[in-house]
Order: sequence, then structure tokens, then C-alpha cells
Amino acid sequence: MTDESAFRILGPIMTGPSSSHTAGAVRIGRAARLLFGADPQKVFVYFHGSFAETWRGHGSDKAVIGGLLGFKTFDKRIKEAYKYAKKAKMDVILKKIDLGHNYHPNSIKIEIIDEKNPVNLIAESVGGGDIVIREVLGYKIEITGKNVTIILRHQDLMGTLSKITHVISQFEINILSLQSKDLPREGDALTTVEISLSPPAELKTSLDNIEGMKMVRILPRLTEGEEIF
Amino acid sequence: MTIDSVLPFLKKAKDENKSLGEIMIEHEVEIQGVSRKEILNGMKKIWSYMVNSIKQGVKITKESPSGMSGGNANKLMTYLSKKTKKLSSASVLKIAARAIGIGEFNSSMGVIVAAPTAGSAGVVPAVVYTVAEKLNASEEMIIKGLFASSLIGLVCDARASTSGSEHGCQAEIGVSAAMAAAAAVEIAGGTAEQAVNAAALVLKNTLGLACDPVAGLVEVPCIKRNGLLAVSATVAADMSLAGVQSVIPFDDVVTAMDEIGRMMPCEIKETSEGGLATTKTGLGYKLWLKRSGERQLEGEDEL
Ligand code: SF4
Repeated sequence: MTDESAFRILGPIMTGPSSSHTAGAVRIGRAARLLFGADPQKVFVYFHGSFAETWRGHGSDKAVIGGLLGFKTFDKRIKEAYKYAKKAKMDVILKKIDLGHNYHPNSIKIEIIDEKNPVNLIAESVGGGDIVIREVLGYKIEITGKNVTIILRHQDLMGTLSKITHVISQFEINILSLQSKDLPREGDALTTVEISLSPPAELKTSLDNIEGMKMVRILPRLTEGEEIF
Repeated sequence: MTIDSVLPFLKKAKDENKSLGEIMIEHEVEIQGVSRKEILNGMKKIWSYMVNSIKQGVKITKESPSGMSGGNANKLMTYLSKKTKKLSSASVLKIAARAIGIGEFNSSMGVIVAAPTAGSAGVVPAVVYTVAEKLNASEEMIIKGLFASSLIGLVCDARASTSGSEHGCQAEIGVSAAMAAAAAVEIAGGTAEQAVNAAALVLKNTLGLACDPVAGLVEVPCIKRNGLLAVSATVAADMSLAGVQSVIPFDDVVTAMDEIGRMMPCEIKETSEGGLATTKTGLGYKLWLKRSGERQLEGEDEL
């Protein structure tokens, strides 16, 4: 949204009471759900720092659960998230964690338990409802969720990056940013690509088919449908 | 690009003989590149959520999870309905009750519109709703009032801040009061100059305001402050319509707010390390909440 817009000052429409501890927590929960790509059945939620101290007064528990259920930040149902979690047969266990000083005081760790496709992430709520995902599946990354983000783990082979960009551009999608780093121990690389549009489902298949590709996850824009313009 | 001065908009309003709200609608149409109708519909959506928060807020009788708030808007409305003599007029008490109600609705996880923040969300809707009710204003006028208020918030954001953690509560409820004053003038049919002047009058009166929320929750002092500053904002609008001028013009007041915000110690900028938050009572609430929250996370207490 442009800096000059009236809707930056009057908005967002959100579940109270706190943009960082409630709205941000909803988005963190939803990020985990979107990375998982299905209805989670069993989830561990760990509150770090100020979340561990003030989660109750801010309703951060209901907020994360609402996010895990796929609710947006202005969804009335967040207030009754426990009820909807029960209906969805989603089991959530809340815990306290100390991630250490390297993590923002407003951090949450989420683990979605699943035999085939477990997901875990650590994300920070950095203010105003904005979040930054710091870790996915144990890999350090930096994703704001302001754009669609593709997360790839692949063998560190010559030419893989250009294959990735080639596949994406075949779908006529703009690449906004690309970061890649080695995971020396595994001999793999972790690449994150921010793109401008929601991709068609075939993109995932095409990326999966690249030689040496081990994991493809596509995270939609987290603020989708939450802004007026 | 940011909007860091009211002056170009005041000039445009004067040259074209338009109200501030109208100028801001035209500006929004230009920057978003969509039709006027879509822009107005966007603001109508915002307004519908604001109205809902007003209606829900005054009905609340239950305490918030912290036990520090809840039920006060309802108390005021009940008081108002009694035949006893009141010290303030009915509309003044309604403004206070509605603003407080939104704050209570916010702390009970209701859906609100940040204006400019969640903690200060009560002021603009309460003033706009009550002024419009009193003047029998159309929805179109209400929407214009909201657009007029947005310029005030945008300039505060660009020239100073609209965050308690950066500049204290002057930047949150102070700004929301300034926005509400401008909206009230617009709805009453005042000029752009009068709207901005009303904002200057009330913002000056909040300079230096500490942000010292008890236990880090947006309840004390936030909720009742919404009520009291909403009343101030409305009086500032009347003062401006009466011709009372702020000696210091709006842009300068915001510069002062920025300077004061920078000088304020971080203990009173949302860290809850000073002021009301560290009084004996304030610390008591903090400790109780922390303990009960931790016990629950460790599975000792039921969630
Ligand atoms: S006291 Fe602080 S938290 Fe409360 S409304 Fe003011 S700025 Fe926001």
C-alpha cells in the first residue's frame, strides 16, 4: 500500500488487542499452515520472550490457533479459536521456550506434527502486525510474507539456480528477489525466491522436476485479502 | 513518498473552494488509480467495522482476561439513561462511553479498526459517530470526515510517528484526537483551515504524553484515555468553528511532537518500565499475569 494512502492510517481492520501480539500471531500461525499445505492435526506452539509473559492478556494463544485454522487477522472467529480447533480436530499444545538472545523478544516457534510432511518454523512479530519468518525446517531464512515466496532445498549443483529462474520465467512470473545459500554439511543449498504473482499449481511440479530438487514449498502472500487496497 | 505537510492540501482546498475531506478523496483516487466509487466503498467498509465496534463495545459487561478493564462504557450508558442530573451533556458522555467501549471491545479480542493504532482505535469512531448523530449527517459526510482525518494522521506519521514505542502516547491517542477533531469540523461543514486548526489545538494539549501501559497490555491507561481525549477532540472542533486559532500552526505542532518524542525516556515509550506500569499496583498486575500465564504454559493450570 502506498505511503500516502488514507487506509494506512485508518486500518487495518483487525482482531484486538495488539497488532504485534495478536494480529502478528495470527499471521505466524497462518504461515505455518500455509507451509504445511493442509489441515494440521497436531501442533506444538512455543512462546518466547514477551509472548511467554503477556500472551494471555493479548490472546496470542487464540490468535496463533486462529491462524493455524487459516483465519485472517479480522476474522471474528479468532476469539473462539479453541472451539473451532476442536471442531477441526486440531490438537494444539502451548509451551514456553527460551530461544536465546539471538531471537527477537516477540518470537514464536511452531511445529506441525505429521509423518510425511512435518513443518516447523520460527517467526518474529516485528510490529504493526508485520512478521518475519526466521527459520523453516531448521534452516535460517528471512521471509516477510509480503510477497509470494518459494522455498527450495536442492543439491548444490552447477546451474541449478539458472534452471530455477528459467522455470519461473516460463510462467511469465516476475522474480522480485532471490537468495541462495549453501548448507555445507548436507551438500545442499537453500534458495528462497520472492515472486510477484500467485503461481499456478504447475509451477510446483516443474520446480520439483529440476534435477537435484529435494523440497519445494510455496508460501502465499500473508496479507492476502487483509488490506483494503 | 510521504505527506509531510498539510500546506499543499490547505492551498488546494482554498483555491478550489473544496472541503478537506473532498480534497483527500480526490488524492486517494489519484494515488490508487481506481474509481471514486471504489475508494468510497473502501472507506465505507472501514466505517462499517467502526460502527460495529461502537455497538459491541457499549454492551460489554464482562471483564477482560487481565481483570483491568471491561464494563465501563456500559456503566456510562446506564448512568446516562437515568434521570439524575449529569454534569456533562448527553453527547459528551456518549462520546466518552463509545470511545471507551471500543477500547474494551479491543481488549476482549473484538474486531476493530486501527486509527491510527489499536490502542487509540476508539477516538475517531466515537467522535465521528456522535457528531454525525447529533447533526443528522449523511453517510457521505461521515466518509468525508474520515478522509479529512486521514491527512492529519499521515502528516503526523511522516513528520513524527504514530507509534507509542517511538514517541509515547502523544503519537497514538494524541494523534487520534487530532484526527477526530478534524473529522468533526469536516462533518459540521467547516473549512479545511478550521479542520486542521482544530487538530492543532488538541494535539498541542497531548504533547509529552507518556506511554506506560500496565503489564504491557493496551488497557490501562489506554482505554479511558480514549474516552477523555475523544471529548477534548470534540471541544477542540467547537473551538475552531468558533474562530479560536492555534497560535502554533499544525505542521509546527507536529514538529514539536517529534522533538518531544525524541527527548522522552524509553521507560515511558511502551516498554512498561516506568510511570503507571511500575507503580506498586501496576507491578502487581504484571506479576500476577506473568505467573498465571507461565503456569498455564507449563501445563499446571487449565488454559
Ligand atoms: S498508553 Fe501506550 S499502549 Fe496505551 S494507547 Fe497510549 S501509546 Fe498505545
